[in-house]
Amino acid sequence: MTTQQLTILLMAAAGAGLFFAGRYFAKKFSSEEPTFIPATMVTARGIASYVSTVASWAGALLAAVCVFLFFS
Amino acid sequence: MIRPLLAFLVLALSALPSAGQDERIPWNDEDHRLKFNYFTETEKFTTETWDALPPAKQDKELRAALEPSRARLLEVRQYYSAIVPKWDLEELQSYLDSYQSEDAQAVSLWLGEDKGSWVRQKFSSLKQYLAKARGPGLEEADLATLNYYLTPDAISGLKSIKIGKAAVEKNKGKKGTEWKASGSGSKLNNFAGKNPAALTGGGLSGFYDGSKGSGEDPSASGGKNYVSGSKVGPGEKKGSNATTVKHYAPPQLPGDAPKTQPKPAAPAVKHTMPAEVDRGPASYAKTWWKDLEKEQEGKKGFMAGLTKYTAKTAQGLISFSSLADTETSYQTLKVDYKNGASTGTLFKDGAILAKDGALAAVTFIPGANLLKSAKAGDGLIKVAKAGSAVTGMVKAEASTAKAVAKEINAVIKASANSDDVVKGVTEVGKRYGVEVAQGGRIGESVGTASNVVYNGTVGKAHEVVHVVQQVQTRATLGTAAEGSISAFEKVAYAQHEMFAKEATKLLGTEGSGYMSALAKNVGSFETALTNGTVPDAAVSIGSRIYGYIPSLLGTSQAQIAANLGVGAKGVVQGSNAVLYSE
Repeated sequence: MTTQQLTILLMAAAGAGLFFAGRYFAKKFSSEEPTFIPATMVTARGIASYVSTVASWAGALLAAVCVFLFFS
Repeated sequence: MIRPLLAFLVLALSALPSAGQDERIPWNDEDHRLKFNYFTETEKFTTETWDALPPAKQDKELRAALEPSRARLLEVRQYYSAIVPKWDLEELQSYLDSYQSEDAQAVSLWLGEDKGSWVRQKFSSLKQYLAKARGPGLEEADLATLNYYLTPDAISGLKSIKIGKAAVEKNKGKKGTEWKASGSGSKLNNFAGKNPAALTGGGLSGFYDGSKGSGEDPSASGGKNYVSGSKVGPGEKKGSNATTVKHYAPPQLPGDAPKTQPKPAAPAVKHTMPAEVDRGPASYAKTWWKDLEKEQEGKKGFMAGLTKYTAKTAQGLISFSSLADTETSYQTLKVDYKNGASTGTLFKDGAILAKDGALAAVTFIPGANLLKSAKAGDGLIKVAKAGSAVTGMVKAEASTAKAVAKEINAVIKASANSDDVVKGVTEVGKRYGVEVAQGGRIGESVGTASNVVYNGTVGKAHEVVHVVQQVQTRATLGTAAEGSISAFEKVAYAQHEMFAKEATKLLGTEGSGYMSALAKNVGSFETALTNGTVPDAAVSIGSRIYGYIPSLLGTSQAQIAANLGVGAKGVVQGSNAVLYSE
């Protein structure tokens, strides 16, 4: 296995980790009683949940691309 | 916990572009070969001038060269893809007319010396065979070689060139009997190097295809790149579908009188969507819209204007979505991986891909959540038609509805502003067992069967309309009628918002028609509560639209937040609570 292949596998693992962590924190920060400010729809927990969701998507993309490159 | 997390994310993202800023990057560094190709071709720097730059300046120049170098690479690839397939006569004429030796040199530089050599040899051979066809005529052995480069029809055309020449001689003096250069052929534009002869490819070959640039004919008959009698470029599919060159039939024979037909399209970006694997659909779509916008330049009229602004909007949406950036990041990672870039570069590429993917996700998560909610049937609220029956609602006594409406109207009549209204309605509510209090979330008015809690910090006049609506509903139906109250306020949620919008100005502030709109609201609610139907909100179209929009997203801030991807679980909190959003 070349250094590049090893690197790409590590990145796939990191992407998968980011995905699962994002999913975990997205659920953790979502609340039954958020305190929204209507003008901006922003709260600390809301932002954290949204950012976590975004991170999970990014992780999934990274993992998928790396796995694809590894086998291509 | 949250702040450190956010701070970490922000710092991590902002740190990405500046990675390696303090390191001096050597000329032709493996990790930046694409950009150095660009510098070489444009002669922006030499080894000496590059090495003289401070590290920060080098980093800045490399970043600035990223997009143009990618664009140039794609342009060269498109050109090469158009050169590789077998040509018909018209393409032969067009390409030979426009070919310059710099084109092959550019292919050598960007795609590898072997590909550049192949291009050079194709043009060189075809020129020789064309001259031979015009002179002594082609031999059978020549036809076998031509089969690598030309379509059978084109070869037939060249074979008959002597016949064509005979016809030319016969018709001497007549106009248009010579096969003349079109002067508008296809070529690789903008070879920017001032001294292209210096660009041999050499050590720069094989960046993207791993080729070693041996210089030998890669597609000689019987060689490894010889495919089914067709000469194809190394590593290329036979007859790449990336070319935009079109085939016209019947082909024009050399020596025939020139026909007035369109010339083959240049291999540069055209108003088409070729299935080129090197660019993703978003990049192509953006280019396509950009070209469409350019085509409107100088045109006048409604359709030209509409097309122009549609093209601009589409480009904006594609840019906003970050999809094109994500595709570019993917391509960068792919190219670097295939070319054995360092671990650090791969990690950096991966981080940028994740960042671009995250930005794309920011755009698409709300839509995806809405679709998910719609599929589950619990996110989108169907807007009920005015006058339709509210399922699960028990009708109120007409006398009670009338009495409550009368009391509230008296309050409205006696009030000078929304503060007075809420004070008076609070007193009315008390008489019917409904408690009104301030509190809760900003911009919401929340009700259970026997109480209403509103927060008027933002858009107070708007929230007071909701308080009036809620007090009237509870006082009329009775505080024991939890099911009816909940059903009415959920089914007719959009109408609640329509009335509130109609009574107020921007940001929920009080307007001059506030009191009259409130009175109209009370009258409509009286009828609806008596009939057990959805109120008829005879309001402006703007207020109607306002009422529909939050209804589509959700009936509470929690639900709207959930549908926008924030993930709040509480759609309706409590069995008999109905939440109003601003």
